[in-house]
Amino acid sequence: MHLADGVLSTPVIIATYGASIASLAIGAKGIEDEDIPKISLMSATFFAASLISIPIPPTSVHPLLCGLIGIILGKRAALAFFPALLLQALLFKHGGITSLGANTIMLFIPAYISYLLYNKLPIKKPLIRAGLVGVVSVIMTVIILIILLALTDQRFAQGDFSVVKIAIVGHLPILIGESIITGFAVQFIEKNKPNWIK
Amino acid sequence: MKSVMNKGILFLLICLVLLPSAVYAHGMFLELEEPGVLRAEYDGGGFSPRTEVTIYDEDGNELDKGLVDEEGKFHFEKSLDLHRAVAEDGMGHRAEYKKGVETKTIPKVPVVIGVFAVVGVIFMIQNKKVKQK
Repeated sequence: MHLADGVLSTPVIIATYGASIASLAIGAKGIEDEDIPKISLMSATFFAASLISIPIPPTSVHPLLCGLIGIILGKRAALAFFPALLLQALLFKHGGITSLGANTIMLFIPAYISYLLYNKLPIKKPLIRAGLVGVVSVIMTVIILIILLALTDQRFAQGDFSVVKIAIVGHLPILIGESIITGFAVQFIEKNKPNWIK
Repeated sequence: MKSVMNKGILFLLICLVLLPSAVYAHGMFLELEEPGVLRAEYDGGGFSPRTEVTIYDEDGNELDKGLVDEEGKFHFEKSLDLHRAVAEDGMGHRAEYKKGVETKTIPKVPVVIGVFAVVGVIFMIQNKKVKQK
């Protein structure tokens, strides 16, 4: 899911960097001391989880957790994604420096929508509500990935192995996994640390 | 807040200092298996049949280009002066091979433990502050 260096066109790189800086500014505005541990824990969790590569032919995918991170951090989610993605790019070349903005935005938008959705959905049980949000967050991330690649080069959308088909097939298991993880994790947090989900 | 930020910045600086100038393993590898054969593979194993490999000479001129075979391998003429090769899977993964450049991998587990240790320190500092209040 991480876009590597050299994949995106210059206009896409510039636009996504601008958007990611804006998302970081939104996240940092009004930040309080007690938010820092929560953000750092989510950042570390994302860092660790997204390093797990799962080969699903004809591609390789990894857990995203943007639904869970979005529900917990809301508008501050970019503050968790950005440093984790930066470290992954520097240490493991997962993603890249030029694509750092795009990767941040690709995760932040679904995360923030997940936060809004979790607070608006008229479902009482956190397990089901968060599980549903987990599914939606993966779909949104895949859609943004497709848009970013299609904006760069039309060939990504062509052929039997087009990015659209690969992304959808490759992320089906992730969709189910994320739904279960997000559902149970949020249920656990709602029971034990309800103040973490405002 | 300041001390927490300082610790985070310090951790990032340590990471940057530890980075030697080598090509590291990443989401996708591209290796010269034998003369005339490059192999593309994902970090966790497997490959995409959509992966396209392009090889270049020392001046950056394109020498050959094509898709990998059913084993993830790209075959080219041994006589070609391969200097650099790029593999792209069309899903945003990209790998590069450079003649004479060593490919190193950083073990993930110690790094992940280190990251969580930093988080632990942040929690400790925050708890201390709460108790002081």
